[in-house]
Amino acid sequence: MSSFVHYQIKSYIQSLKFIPPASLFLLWIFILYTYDNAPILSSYGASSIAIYLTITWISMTVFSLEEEQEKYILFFQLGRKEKYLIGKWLSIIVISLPLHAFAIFYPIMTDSFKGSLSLPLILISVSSHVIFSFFGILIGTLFSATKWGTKKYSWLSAVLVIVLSISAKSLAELASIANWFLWIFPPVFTVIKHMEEGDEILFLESLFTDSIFVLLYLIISFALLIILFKRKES
Amino acid sequence: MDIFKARKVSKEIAGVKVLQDISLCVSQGETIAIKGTNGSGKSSLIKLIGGIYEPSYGNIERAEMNIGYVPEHFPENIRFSINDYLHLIAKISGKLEQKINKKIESYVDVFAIGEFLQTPLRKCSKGTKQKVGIIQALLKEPDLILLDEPLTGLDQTTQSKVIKLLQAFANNTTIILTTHEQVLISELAPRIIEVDKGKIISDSFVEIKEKLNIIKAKVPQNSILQELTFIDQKLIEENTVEVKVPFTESDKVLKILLEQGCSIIELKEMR
Ligand SMILES: Nc1ncnc2c1ncn2[C@@H]1O[C@H](COP(=O)(O)OP(=O)(O)OP(=O)(O)O)[C@@H](O)[C@H]1O
Ligand SMILES: [Mg+2]
Repeated sequence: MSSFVHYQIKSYIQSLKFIPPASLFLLWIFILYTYDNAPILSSYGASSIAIYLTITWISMTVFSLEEEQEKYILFFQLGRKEKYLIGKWLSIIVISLPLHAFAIFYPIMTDSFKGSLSLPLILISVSSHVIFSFFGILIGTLFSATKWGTKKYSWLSAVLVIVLSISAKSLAELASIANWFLWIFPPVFTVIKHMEEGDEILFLESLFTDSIFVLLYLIISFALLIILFKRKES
Repeated sequence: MDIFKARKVSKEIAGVKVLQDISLCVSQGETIAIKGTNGSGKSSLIKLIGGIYEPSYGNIERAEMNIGYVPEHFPENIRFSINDYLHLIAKISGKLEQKINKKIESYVDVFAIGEFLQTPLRKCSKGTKQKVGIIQALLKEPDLILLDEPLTGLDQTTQSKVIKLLQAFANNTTIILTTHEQVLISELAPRIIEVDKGKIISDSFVEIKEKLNIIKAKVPQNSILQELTFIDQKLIEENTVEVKVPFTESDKVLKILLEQGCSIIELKEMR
């Protein structure tokens, strides 16, 4: 598997497809910390959203690296189709590591925060970045490696889903009927609500249950993705 | 042992029936050629056997096996050099570094692509890409080799090299290939499957005929050659005899003829 990840990353770097999403991401972070005295959690919340979009984009480009025949060769070299999918996910995770590091350490190094960091704050922030990158992988995979991805409007649909998931809370307030279908989207608000308050409030009672909910959401959706991927590649 | 079995399998892609009512059984060690006109479903059948396609209807059984696949068209856009590509691919299939190097070297020699080793694949000629397509499939020492029109785009010498290589593999490997080339069929495959409009229309075994030489010679007396009674011979006119000998026996027979004082008039391959 590690050699497949190696192959993917080498091929991704040589394709230069990482440049647009990565530069947009860097720009976003630079702008986010233009002014000093930024509140810690909500800034990290904002960079998590940036990760969400960027990783969706990166996932879609990673899945479009190969044409059919190259993909088939890789299926046979790997022996199983699932290995291809999981290898792609691992590759995306490896590719996203520098972005995570940048999002976390840039404000610390430039001393942009108001107040001082504590371990719990860092833990919450890192988890939120990780969770949002998984949301990104989820949406990116759905619209590039399943039957949903072969449609003409896959990019548009991906953007639509991201926008809907981010604005789910407001939509639900606008029309409660929205609740009936919004649960299917990545639970952005469940994560982000812990980062909206001031930096001192941390361990809300709901933190634990929300974490469990997000974890379950991720496990179930990734399992579904494997099924959808296999259905497409059959 | 059967490695693949299909019962009444159909495959639909985007509403198009690309394969229909396929019933097929492949045993370990067989060499099979699939032929048919363009668009008849050869590539689709190969994909079904290998597992790229699963049936829409009907059922199949596939043994767990290590499969090498040579696609119909080698991918156009690979940025790796041939050397990098082959090494990466071999590692993906789980081969050990030291073992790989030797094997890659030997295939590079056989196919004479040494001078292009550092060339990015996307810039290589069609034939070179095709060679790399074949090498990547053989490198993993597969139990089953699937080749989709392996000879297209290759020059005459390379074609015979591929045939030789496959003959060597055929001893302990199952080989299934699609082809329009008669040579491949006659040199390699005793079993021929013909497809048309997505259906198997014939599935038969042919005996590979042994190559024969025909030797015409003038003989000293008007007699049957005593020493060659074991060989198919006949007098075609006075003092002239025609013998049919297996390709591999020709030298021996020629020697005997000459020793008996015959003069050779003609030696040709029998068609
Ligand atoms: N992905 C696909 N979507 C729709 N139709 C397809 C697809 N793949 C194959 N077909 C159709 O299935 C039929 C058989 O295709 P296939 O590629 O198996 O033919 P073939 O015998 O390999 O032809 P050729 O000699 O040209 O390579 C063709 O009519 C083709 O249009
Ligand atoms: Mg074909």
